Amino acid sequence: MNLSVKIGNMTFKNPVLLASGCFSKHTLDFTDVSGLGGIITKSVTMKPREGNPPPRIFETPCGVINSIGLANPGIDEFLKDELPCILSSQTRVIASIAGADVDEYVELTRLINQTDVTGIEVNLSCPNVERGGVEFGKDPESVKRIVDSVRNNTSKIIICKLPPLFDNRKIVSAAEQTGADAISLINTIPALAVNFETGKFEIGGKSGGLSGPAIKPIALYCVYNAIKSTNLPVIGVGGIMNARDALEFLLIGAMMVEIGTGVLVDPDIGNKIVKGIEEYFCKEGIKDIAEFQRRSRF
Amino acid sequence: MATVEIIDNSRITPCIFKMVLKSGQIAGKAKPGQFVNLRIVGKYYPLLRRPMSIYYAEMDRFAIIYTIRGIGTGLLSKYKNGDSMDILGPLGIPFESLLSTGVDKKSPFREKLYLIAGGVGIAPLYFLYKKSSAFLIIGAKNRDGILPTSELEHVGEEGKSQKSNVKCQKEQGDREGRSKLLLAKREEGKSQKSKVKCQKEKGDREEGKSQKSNVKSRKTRTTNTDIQIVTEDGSVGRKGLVTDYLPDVSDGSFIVACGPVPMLKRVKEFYSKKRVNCILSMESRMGCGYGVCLSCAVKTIDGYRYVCKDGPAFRAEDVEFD
Ligand SMILES: Cc1cc2nc3c(=O)[nH]c(=O)nc-3n(C[C@H](O)[C@H](O)[C@H](O)COP(=O)(O)OP(=O)(O)OC[C@H]3O[C@@H](n4cnc5c(N)ncnc54)[C@H](O)[C@@H]3O)c2cc1C
Ligand SMILES: Cc1cc2nc3c(=O)[nH]c(=O)nc-3n(C[C@H](O)[C@H](O)[C@H](O)COP(=O)(O)O)c2cc1C
Ligand code: FES
Repeated sequence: MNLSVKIGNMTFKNPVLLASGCFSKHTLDFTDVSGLGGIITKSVTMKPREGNPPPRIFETPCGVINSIGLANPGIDEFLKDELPCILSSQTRVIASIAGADVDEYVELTRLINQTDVTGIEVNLSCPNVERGGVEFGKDPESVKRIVDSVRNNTSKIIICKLPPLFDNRKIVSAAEQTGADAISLINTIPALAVNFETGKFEIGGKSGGLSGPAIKPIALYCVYNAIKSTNLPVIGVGGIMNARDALEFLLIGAMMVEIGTGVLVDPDIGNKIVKGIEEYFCKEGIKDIAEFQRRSRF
Repeated sequence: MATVEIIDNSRITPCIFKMVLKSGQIAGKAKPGQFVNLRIVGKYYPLLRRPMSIYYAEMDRFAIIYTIRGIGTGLLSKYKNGDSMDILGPLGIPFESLLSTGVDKKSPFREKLYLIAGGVGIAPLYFLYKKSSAFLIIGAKNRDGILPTSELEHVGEEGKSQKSNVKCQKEQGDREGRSKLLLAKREEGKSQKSKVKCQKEKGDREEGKSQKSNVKSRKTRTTNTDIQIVTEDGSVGRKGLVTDYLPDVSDGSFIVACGPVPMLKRVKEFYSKKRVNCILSMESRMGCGYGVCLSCAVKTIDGYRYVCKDGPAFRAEDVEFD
């Protein structure tokens, strides 16, 4: 059995990645990531970011709303403290970057290009201040400009991480026209929680982003639409909690999957999912992911 | 991460539950101030783990105490003896690293250690109390929120050569039926045997006379183990808020407080002008409990810090309340 997959010129030993924001060097205290396809680091920005006011998290039935506000120590500290530790973990490392404008995405790319990471995930769910705060990932022109500039500054693989859009054809084809090697989606879904007793929002920054099992059907929908409109490999993200969930994304044609909220609940979830996929393939006598995907009847 | 067997899960007062769990691995490492993160099974709701302070740990077991707050703690109360649960921990920084000076039984500093608990905030303080023989004030809404005397009986069993014996008398109300004080004192016997005896003491608190009681508290600190109880309705111990009875301590004392935010805020204010080391154990909603998601932010003078990895306890002077 062979679970390996290829994105750009890079081979991953299996299709399971840990998603950005749900993995850090601290995860390594609780699990061995060497058996995973890889891990994606927390989105890093040029300058340190304090993050949003607490409360930053609220649980809803089968889901989690978070509003972390891209809290991170900034690229310098990331390169000095966080990344070396993660790079020693014997798995493929993808660095997620979040810029305030094209120049920042470029600068982040240049700095990360000098490290041993396998690739860069371009987090496009950041607000474009020049355009009234609309997320870059919702505007095909911005996507083109950003990803083209990133491409010009690295030969490492580039993954475009998109926000949840029900009709994502334009964005996906914009990404395809750049030098991106893959698309990942979805990021969290905008969500609000209020407390009628206290009369307050449950999240300090008012609204947040929903993740976890509650969003899986929406993620499947967005991923399916993206797959239909591009030849680029697509990485499915959203609500994956076990091997079954991961297999659903693979069945509709995703090349890989990322696990976010599931890792917060169970730091070892990645290994469990890899094992679950292996067991299923073994039981069914499936040789590889391509063979599994040929089973789909849609 | 470990699958841990539940030895006992029972209600110890009408609103407090105690769960004893079997894990030499967790118990062996656990220190006062740390917590565990429990995965309460309810398919995907609750989804996130729930943090609970370690109430005590010894040999191959440890315990937590909890009140029912919502869905997770509601389901927690339904677990049966012999069930098992997936637990992450011990997590967080122990109190001792903030106290910097040893406060164990042999340390002279234990004389200067004061623990202030509001509600179920008693959980991590009880563990420290067991290890250090400090002065402890417990506050709750009413008697249902106060640990039963059977729990306090175990205090002192840690010092292996010491045997302790607690005897508490539920006192009747004083003449005006308003304030009561339940004071447990431990007297160390000659042959390392200690004896805890709850003594009746007339509450003398009158509306807003907190200064007076602060003096009183100091006076009662005659032995190395004292417990003072305060309830909002006066159903046991003194009547009022725990913050009405904050001990007026001498320079160089250590104060560790755990409870609701308004209480912590008041504790910080009260001790801010004194030359004491005041530590607050904070709560926050958590995503992971192990430093990854950055959900559990609290505001400090150095910007946001994280309850699960930088805390749960912080120096009072560092914490910024709104
Ligand atoms: C370090 C730490 C140690 C704790 N130790 C104890 C303990 O020893 N005993 C105990 O009874 N409780 C303790 N708590 C609080 C406990 O974690 C919450 O009461 C519990 O998570 C509520 O879960 P629930 O599903 O019942 O409530 P939910 O249905 O999730 O929510 C009910 C209410 O509880 C609040 N809440 C939810 N999660 C937390 C949280 N992590 N911290 C504070 N409030 C929360 C919600 O905002 C809401 O108001 C501790 C919390 C922390 C952070
Ligand atoms: C606490 C938290 C922090 C996150 N931070 C980031 C981030 O920094 N960058 C990013 O691209 N996505 C971030 N995400 C989104 C996840 O990577 C993922 O896209 C989303 O949560 C959906 O997947 P899930 O349902 O498996 O969690 C974060 C999610 C959570 C829950
Ligand atoms: S709860 Fe995730 S960082 Fe503290």
